[in-house]
This record gives sequence, C-alpha cells and structure tokens, in this order.
Amino acid sequence: MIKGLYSAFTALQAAWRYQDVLSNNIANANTPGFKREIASQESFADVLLSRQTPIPAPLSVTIQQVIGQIGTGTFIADFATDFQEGNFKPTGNELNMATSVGFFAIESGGGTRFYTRDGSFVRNSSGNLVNSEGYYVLDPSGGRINLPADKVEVSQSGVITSEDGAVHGTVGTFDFKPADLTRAGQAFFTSTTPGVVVSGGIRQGLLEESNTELLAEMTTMMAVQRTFQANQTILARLDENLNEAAGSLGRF
Amino acid sequence: MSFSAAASSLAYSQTVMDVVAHNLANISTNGFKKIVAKASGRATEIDPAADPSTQVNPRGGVAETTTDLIIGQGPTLATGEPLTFALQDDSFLRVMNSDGAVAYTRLGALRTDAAGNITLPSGRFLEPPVVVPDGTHSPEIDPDGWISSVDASGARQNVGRITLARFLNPAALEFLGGGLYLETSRTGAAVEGSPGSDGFARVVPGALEGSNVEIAEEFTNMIVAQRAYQVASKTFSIGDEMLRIATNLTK
Repeated sequence: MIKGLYSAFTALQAAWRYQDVLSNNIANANTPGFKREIASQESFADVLLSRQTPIPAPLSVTIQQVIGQIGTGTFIADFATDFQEGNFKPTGNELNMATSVGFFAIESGGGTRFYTRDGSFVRNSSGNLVNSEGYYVLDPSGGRINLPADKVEVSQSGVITSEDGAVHGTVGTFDFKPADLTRAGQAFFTSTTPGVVVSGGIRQGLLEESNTELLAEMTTMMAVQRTFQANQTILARLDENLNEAAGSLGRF
Repeated sequence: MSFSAAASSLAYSQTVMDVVAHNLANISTNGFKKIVAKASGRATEIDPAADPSTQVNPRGGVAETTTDLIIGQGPTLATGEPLTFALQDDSFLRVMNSDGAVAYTRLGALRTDAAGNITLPSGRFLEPPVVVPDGTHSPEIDPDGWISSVDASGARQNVGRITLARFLNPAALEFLGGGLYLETSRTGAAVEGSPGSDGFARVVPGALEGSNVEIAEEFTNMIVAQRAYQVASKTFSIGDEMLRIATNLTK
C-alpha cells in the first residue's frame, strides 16, 4: 500500500513538472526562435529501489527505503527539445534573419557563446551586428561583424554586401547534433562542441517563429491535469485505507 | 511553478494591446512611426551546480518584451504648403526641444511664427535656427533643404538650410511625444548632413510623410494577442486547479 503511495507520488510529481514545461511552451508561442520542450517517455518494467542504487529519474531522491519491486508503467523520464523548424515570418526589417540550416552564433561580452535561431539583429552604437541583448553575432571563424551605416544585403550564404558592392563580413551558421545542445534561455543553446560550419540557408528580412503547437500543448495539458486528478484520488483512497489500518484495526 | 510562465505571457499580451492601441490612435498622425512589441527569450547559461535560487527560471515563459520603433517609410502626401516637406530616407530633421536639448522629428511641417522664425507646428525651432528676414515674403523650401524667401526687389534669396541627422540604429530612439525623438546610447551618434548631399536623400517639398501604421497588421496583432491572453489565462487556471487538487491530497 505504501508502495502504491510512492507510485502515485511519482506520477503526481511528473505531472507537476510536465505542467511547468507545457506552460512555458504556451507562454512562448510568440517568441521568435523558441524551441519547445517535449516529453520523452520511458517504460520501466520493474523498478528496484534501494539506498545504494542510484535513483532513476523522475523518482525523488528522498525515497530512501528498500521497498521492493513496483510495476510502474510508463513514466515521463525527461524532457527533450523539439528542434522542428518554426514558420518563417517576413518582418520587413533588413537586419532580421532566419536560417534553415544550423544556428546563428552569438557571443556575450564575457565570451560565452550561445546558439540560436532567433535572428532579430540590430546594429549597436559602434556598428557591430548584435542581437537584442547586445551580444555579438559571429562570423564562421568566430569573429565579430561590423556593418556600414547604409543598407546592407545578406545573401543565402551569409555574405553581407553594401549597396556599392563592398563586402563587410559573413554571418556564420553552425550545425550541431541535437544531443550536443543544452538549453540556455527560451531561444538559446550552449554547446561543448564548436559545431560544424554550414551555409546556404540564410534568408534576410524573415524571422523564425516559435515552434509551439498550441493544440498539442493544450490537449496534453488536459491529459496532465486529469492524470494529476486521478492520482490524487488514488492517494486519498490509499490514505483512507492506511488510516483504517493504523487507527481502527485491532480495536474492539 | 507554471504561474510565472503564464503571468509573463499575460504581461506580453497586455504590452501588445497597448502598442496596437498607440499605433491605431496615430493612424492619421503625419510623421508618426509605428512601434512593435517583440517577445524574446534571454540567453542565460544554466549552471546545474549553482544554487537554484540564484538561477533564472529556465521555464519562466517570456523573458522580456521589447518595443521597437519601425522607421519604415510612410506615404508621401501632397499638402500644397510651400514650407512643408517629406523626408525620403531614414533620416530625421534636427530641432531644438523646449528644454534646450536637441531632438529629432520626421514631421516636416514647417511654418513661420510672428517674428519670422521657422518652427514646427508646436513652436519648436530648427537647430540651427533659420529666420525669415523682415520685409520678405513667400518662404518656401527646395528639394535640397534650402529655405528661401522673396525680398523687396522680387528676388528669391536663400535664408537658411535644414539640418538632417541619421543614426546607426534608429529603432532605439526614445519617443518624447509630440513627434519628437531623442538620441540614446544605443542609437549611435547622430551623423549630420543636408538633403541631397553627404548620402542624404533629397526631400519632397509641398508634401508631408503620412503615418506608417497599417490597419491590417495592427488588427492581426491585436487578435493574436487577445487569443494568447485567453490561452495564458487557461494555463493559469489549470495550474490553479492542480494546486487545489494538491492541497486536497488528503483529508
């Protein structure tokens, strides 16, 4: 019965975390470059818990006792990022860019490198190409890009030319295996690997929209809420039984 | 928990509605530049080893909402007034604000006051100021920005020239109200010049630049924001329902 309590608890905890993920996905439905998180599910046939064995996700590390085998069904083991491409939306802004291959690389003043599909770039006061936070957009070799004051054209391979034909640098795009990317903010990722330089997918004047799928998120949210409710009912019933066992058994 | 994500989405939708209202109110304001609200996720490195209370919530919804100025060219509307002009590129007219600071505007609706000073309709002087001398009449502006008037002998003489300025990042200009903008640290220094030279386009006299607000675009943004608000409210109530269930876990 107490095993049943922990089963229900793990389901509740998983549902609670899932609700967080879904809310975040929905809130960022209008954030350019946002990549939603989806649940990657894992089945456990049996789970053996003990003090020595590492506790597998999503079970809480506070469960310390040896409680034997539990049939645990399907659990949400972890959340993965869905790298599906969002729609490209024209904005009319000449410094907005979208890429269909790889990610843009931006670097903070302190040297931390982030990768993103959010191509909402502007000039800073020195003429460097930066994103809305002021982080520098990098070229394929990792250097910063400086733009002239007048209109520029960005080709599909990222080459920036001004109206007189002069070249002012190249916007770099880098490709990664999804497993190498770690989330760092809603539309940004960091990676331990430098990524593979790719080119040919840049479109000027467009922004990639969020890849949130509203219907899918709302439907899953309904299921999550009902899972939560169902497990609460189980927990309440088990609690009632335990109350009987602890309080009434053996009494005359 | 999920409330911060929902709350951030509600705040973003509210900002979009405010922006739409501001733009639509100025659909007929000459020289007006629309603004657009943009949601963005901030780039923050999540350090798993660090104290969670010091970390930014990675599932906190919209990290920040910015409003950007869109400098896109509005339509050129003929006025028939000889002192009015419409700018044709992304530059601004240099004027003096009432508190003595230099300000910039797209509104080329110049006129003379009782003393012959060339001013905007609000009374703001050009910077540097231009004065139409006493005894002259019929002031007008030409495509190169020269303001001229006819003297007593009937000859047209130049009496001054407008100064234009452009910025590396004009979207970061601060809106003062009354059609005036201020330079900020993010716009880059103002580069000055005159129409028809130094890379500045010639102006069109006898016309004004209309507002660059587009109704269809604003209504689309408004509808999307309204639905986003509804969805965020729903997320909020589902989170609330789950909390209610949690508080009733056991009798």
